[in-house]
Amino acid sequence: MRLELRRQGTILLARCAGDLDVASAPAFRERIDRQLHRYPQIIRLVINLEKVDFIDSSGLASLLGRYKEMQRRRGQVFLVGLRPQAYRLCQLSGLCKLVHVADSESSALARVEPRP
Amino acid sequence: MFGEENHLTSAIKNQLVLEFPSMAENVGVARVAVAAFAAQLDFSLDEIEDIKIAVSEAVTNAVVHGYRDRPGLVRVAAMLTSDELVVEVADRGKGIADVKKAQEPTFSTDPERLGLGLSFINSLMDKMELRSTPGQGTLVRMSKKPQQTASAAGKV
Repeated sequence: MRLELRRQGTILLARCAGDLDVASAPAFRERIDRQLHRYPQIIRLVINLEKVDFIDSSGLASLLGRYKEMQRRRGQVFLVGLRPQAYRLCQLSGLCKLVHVADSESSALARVEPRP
Repeated sequence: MFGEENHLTSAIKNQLVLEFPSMAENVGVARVAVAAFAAQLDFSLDEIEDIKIAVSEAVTNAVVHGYRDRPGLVRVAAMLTSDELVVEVADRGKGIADVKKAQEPTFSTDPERLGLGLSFINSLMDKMELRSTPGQGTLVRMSKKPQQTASAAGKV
């Protein structure tokens, strides 16, 4: 698994490639969480899974874990580029009900949420 | 839990056996090998993906739950008949105390996990059977037939 992280202000963009499974999930979790802990101002996590060839329940659990972390800080998670198989698992697991699913990185980055 | 293939008949056309140490890195090796083996039947690409996920879940369970951090061997046996793939994933790990409860969605003994592995196998494969003896190990047996027959796919 390859993971590229970019922070722009209150947004963290994570581009993931390869397999997201029990072998790669720990590194995925640790690298994203390190950024989240370093920058408490991050309130939107955009995860691009376009180049993820394989994902299973261990991979989904690592996405759910980041959702829970973002929820603690009243932030949001956007998933981008879900392939059909990943989308199906996302629905089977109920994860799709919790996160936002966006068509493209730009739409996930641009979406403006109303200020409280 | 090993040596379970005795019940198989002469209808077996081909067979693959993998045995490897219980390491997360080997989960990907097992699912890719079984997927390549399964491609000898007329599975669609989606069905091959389903098989990959199911194998990944079963082997992950053996590594994460069967052995936890203890060393041990995982054995994967895949068999092909003329129209069916059968995969057995076996470990000699700690076993499952309550096999029924383990199959309930979102039952997990680890808070960092989803607890959906077995229910994914159930939805992605045609059949799944789980046998376990606490202290002895666990065997998951799953099977799948291609939905589209060779003739329906327009092949000779």
